[in-house]
Amino acid sequence: MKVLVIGHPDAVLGFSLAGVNGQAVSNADEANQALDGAFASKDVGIILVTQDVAGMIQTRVDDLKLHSTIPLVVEIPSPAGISPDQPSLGEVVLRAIGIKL
Amino acid sequence: MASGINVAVQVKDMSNVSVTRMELLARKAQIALASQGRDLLEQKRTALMKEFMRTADTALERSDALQVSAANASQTLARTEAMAGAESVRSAALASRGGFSLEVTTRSVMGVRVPHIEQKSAARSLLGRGYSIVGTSIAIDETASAFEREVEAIIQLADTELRLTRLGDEIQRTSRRLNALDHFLIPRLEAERDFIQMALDERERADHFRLKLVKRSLERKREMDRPK
Repeated sequence: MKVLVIGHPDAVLGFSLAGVNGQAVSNADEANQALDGAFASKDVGIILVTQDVAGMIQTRVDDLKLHSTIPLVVEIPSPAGISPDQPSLGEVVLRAIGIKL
Repeated sequence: MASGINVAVQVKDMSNVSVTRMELLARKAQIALASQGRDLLEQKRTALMKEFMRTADTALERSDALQVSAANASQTLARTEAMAGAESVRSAALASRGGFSLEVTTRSVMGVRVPHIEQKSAARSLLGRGYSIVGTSIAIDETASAFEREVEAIIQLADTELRLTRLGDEIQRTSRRLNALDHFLIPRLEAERDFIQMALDERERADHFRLKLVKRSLERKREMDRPK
């Protein structure tokens, strides 16, 4: 199975140098369409969504992260870096067990 | 405050409780079942926690590693675009051949489906990248390797991160059910059981007393009827 990137044009360009196909999107509609396309193709194992794009369709991405098994959906840092209001992994841990690691 | 709410619930509920021995037995059975369920949920949560903790350390480590390699990769890309020109980066990207293939499977931990990713091929060799190494700048090679490293970091993280998120979600859900049993359902059932028990005892004492009254009045009657 293959990896697919959906996200910021810069990220897509870089990943395609590494041999990972991608789809550059700039608004929520395009992002939804790209996700639909990726789900329709049976060959995609992991979908990487850059954080800026994930932010446009956050509810759908969160749901997919929790429930979709194939393909898996993962958020990756945008080229611009991580936005501060993004819950980090540490916060996920904190929310689940009430202990800060 | 909490006890105030509790009392209100108890008062409201007791009016629907019928005081019979059948009800008492039913309540006792319900309490046994609920406690059993609570113990099972508790065990489930403990097992999930164990798995969660085991995953958490690795995930946090890999998350940090990814932040570093992502920053590095986008920096390298920006520099390369400046040095070699955006056009040549784009043309190399078009020529680049797909390199990552992997297998995604799922495993079940206490009923939670967690993913497992198996990476089949790692970074490609310089010649395997598909674009001409003669016609492109070395900066492009560097960018390609930087992004290959990032993809590897992502794939390693994806596995643990998704497992962590899903386990965390399930732990939250289990805790919620556990709390509902612990702080609401079981106390209510126990209060109802005690209420029925007390009412039954009270009724028994009343019966006992009434019997004694009857007995005493019968005795008095017999005394009066006895010939002197």
